[in-house]
Amino acid sequence: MSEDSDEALVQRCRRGDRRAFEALVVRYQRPVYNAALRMLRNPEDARDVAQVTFLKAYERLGDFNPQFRFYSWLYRIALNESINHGKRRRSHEELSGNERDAANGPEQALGLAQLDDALQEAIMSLSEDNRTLIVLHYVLGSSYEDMAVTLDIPAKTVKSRLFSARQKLKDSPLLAAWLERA
Amino acid sequence: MSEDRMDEAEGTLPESAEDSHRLRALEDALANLTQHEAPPGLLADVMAALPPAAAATAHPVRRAAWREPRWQLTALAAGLGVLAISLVLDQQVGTDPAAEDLAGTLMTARPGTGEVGNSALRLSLESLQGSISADNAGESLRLQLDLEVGEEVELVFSQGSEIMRRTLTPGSVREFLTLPGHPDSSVRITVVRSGTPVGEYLLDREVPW
Repeated sequence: MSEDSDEALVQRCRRGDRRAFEALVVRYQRPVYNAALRMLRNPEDARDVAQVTFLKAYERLGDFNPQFRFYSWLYRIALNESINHGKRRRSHEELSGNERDAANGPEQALGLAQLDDALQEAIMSLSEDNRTLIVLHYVLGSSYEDMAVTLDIPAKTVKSRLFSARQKLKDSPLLAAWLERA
Repeated sequence: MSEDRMDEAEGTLPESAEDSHRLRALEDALANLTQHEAPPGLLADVMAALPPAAAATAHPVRRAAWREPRWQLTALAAGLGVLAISLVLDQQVGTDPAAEDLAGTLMTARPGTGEVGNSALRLSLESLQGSISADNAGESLRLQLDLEVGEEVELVFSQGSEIMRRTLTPGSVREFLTLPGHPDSSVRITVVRSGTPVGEYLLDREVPW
C-alpha cells in the first residue's frame, strides 16, 4: 500500500490525522462536485452537497469497510446527498418534474448554444435513478463493478439499467434535434 | 472508448442504423461532458467545518469495548458518582451563573424558567465578540447576530445537512438569519479567519423538558 493511497490516507484519518483527510478532499473534490452539479444543475447547490458529502464521510469514516474502494463509498454519499438535496429543493419550490419538462421543451433545446447545456437538461429530465446511473458512469467514470458496489446491486443489473437509462436519454426530446444533426 | 462502453455497444442491438448512429453520438457527447473545477474555497470550508478529530476514529473498536460488562459497570458507577457530586454541589453553591457570564459555551434554557425554545451563544474571540441567539421562526430556525467584528471572518452554520455561510466585515453586526433546517436541531457554528478555523461552537436547540 503506497503512502498516499486512499487506503493509507483513510487509515491515517481514522487515527485522527486531519492532513490525511485534507489530501482525500483535494483528490476527490472535483469529481464529487461534478457529480453533484450534474445531479442538481445548480452550482451553489452542488457546492453545498460537495461540502456535506465530505463532512458526512469524515464523521462516518468508522463505518467505512476498507474491503471496498473508498471512492465507491464516497460517491454513494455524494449521490444520495444530491438526491436528498434535490427533493428538499423541489419541496421548497413546489415544482413538479412534469412542470419542469414542460418548461424546457424541444424548442428550447434547439436554441441551446452548448451541447453540454442540452445534455444537462436531458440528464435533469431523467428519473433520479437513471440520472444516478448516467452520472456514475459518464461523469465519475465508474466501471460496472464499481457501480455495483456503489449502488449495492449486481453488476448485471447495473448493465441493463444503464442501457435503459441511456435509451431514455437518446429518446429525450431535448436532445432529438442535436442527435439528428450529429 | 473504454472496455465497458465497447461491451455496452455490442450488447445494444439497435433497432436501426439511424438509432445506432444516435446512440453513438450520445455516447461521444457523454464521454466529453465538461468537467468543471471544484469551486475555490471548498477545501477550506470543508476543513473548517470538520468536527473534532475524535469523530473520525473507528467506531467498531469503541462499540466492541462497550460490549464488555466490566466497562458498563464502571461507567454506571462513574455516572452515579457524578450525579451524587452534582446534587451535593447544587445544594451548596445555590444559583447558576447568569447566562451572559458564560463565554463561548453552550447556554440552554433551563426547565421552569419560561425560556423554552430560546438559546444563545456568547463569543469572545479576539476578532469577534458578542452573541448569537436562536429562536423558532415557523418551520425554520432564526438566528440573531449581535456582534462586534474586529477583523473579517466567515461564520459557517451547519445544521444537519444544511450549511449556510456568512462573511462578516469589521464593525457592528446586528442582523437576523433564517436557517432552512429544523428549528429544534442544534447548530454548529465555525468561525473562520483567513481560511483557518479559529473557533467552533454548538448552539443547542434541544427543547427543555
